[in-house]
Amino acid sequence: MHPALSVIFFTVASGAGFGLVMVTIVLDLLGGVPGLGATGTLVAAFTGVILATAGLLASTLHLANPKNAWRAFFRFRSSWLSREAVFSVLFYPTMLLYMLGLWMTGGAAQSAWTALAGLLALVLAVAAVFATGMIYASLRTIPQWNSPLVPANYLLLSLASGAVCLTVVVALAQGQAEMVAMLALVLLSAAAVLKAIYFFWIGKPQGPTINTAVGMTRGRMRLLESGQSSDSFLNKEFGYQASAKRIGQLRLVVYLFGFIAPFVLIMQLIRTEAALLAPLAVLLLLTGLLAERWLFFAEARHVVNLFYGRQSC
Amino acid sequence: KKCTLCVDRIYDEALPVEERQPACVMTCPTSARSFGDLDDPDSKVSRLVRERNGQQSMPELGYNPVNHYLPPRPKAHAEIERSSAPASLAHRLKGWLGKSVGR
Repeated sequence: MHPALSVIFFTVASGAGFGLVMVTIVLDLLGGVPGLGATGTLVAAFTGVILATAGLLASTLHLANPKNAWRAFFRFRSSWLSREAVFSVLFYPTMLLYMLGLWMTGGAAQSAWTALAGLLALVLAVAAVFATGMIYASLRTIPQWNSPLVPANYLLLSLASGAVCLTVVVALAQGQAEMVAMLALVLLSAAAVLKAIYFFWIGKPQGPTINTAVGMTRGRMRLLESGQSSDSFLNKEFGYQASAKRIGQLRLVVYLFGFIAPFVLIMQLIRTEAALLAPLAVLLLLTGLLAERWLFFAEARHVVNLFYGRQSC
Repeated sequence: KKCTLCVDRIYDEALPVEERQPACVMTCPTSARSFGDLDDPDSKVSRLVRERNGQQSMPELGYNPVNHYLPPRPKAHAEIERSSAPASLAHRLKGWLGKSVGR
């Protein structure tokens, strides 16, 4: 599938933003973010909202007909895209209420209504990220996307990037970043393992083949002529093919920049408390995540390619 | 734009009955397409699908598409019936050359 840069930026930014909000609220509900006071928690929550908003606004750039975008909100029962849009929009008032509560009462531990608002905002943030993953996982025509590993990956990467962003906030606020940094390490490791499972899973042959597509299941089949002399939308959008070398390089980038380097830098942060390691870690992490999302699109093959020469998808 | 099976034609009372079919079915020069009600077991299309083992494309995806494809049949009867007089050597040689030259 042709990787759309605006969608890649959107899912990485909104994933990090919602993840930062999720981690902040969970820690606040458990008694307060270690290393941050009420103001610091407010800054963290606000940064999360900014990141998520930047991502959601960027997503409108991939629309061919933006004036019809409002219709997306009215298909909640049958469309994951619609559910994502509704959850993202409902997230804002609950988040605003929670941030008001942080400012007025000092945190979820101090006040019941702040805790309730925080819980609602948390549920909506999780639902929004889950719905984003399900937009892709609901498609049976793209075997590499049709799996529960996809929304699991979206959620875990969102949590991991959110935890690393929270480490940055705590480190820059000159608080004790150890606890949050350790949480970030745990989430990064879990995300790395799940990503490895996903790469292993898409390596197995699965899904329809040219035989089941055309109905001639006895004997080998191959396409001699596609019947068209130039590319069409189907070729360019669904038939995007990245070279195996490029894919290998980018998988290396995902692991080195996205998981191993932030892990090492955050471990060093725990040991030496050098606050500037945290922003470096988040920059490398976001580079790795952009590569991961690009690969997610580029390694996916729609079954329509079976009618354009592929033996299997 | 997606195919609507010419929904404006198939329900149009102003058209004669034999023209209430999708345009692609009516225009096909080899009559390769047929249109009808697959829910009715006695309709022409249901009988075609049953008798000629019509199949759906990629049934394992679970989409249950409505259109069925009829597999190719053995060589047409016209080729099996030969004329009574044996063809001339030149004609048979040309036929053999035509068959043996691959694509």
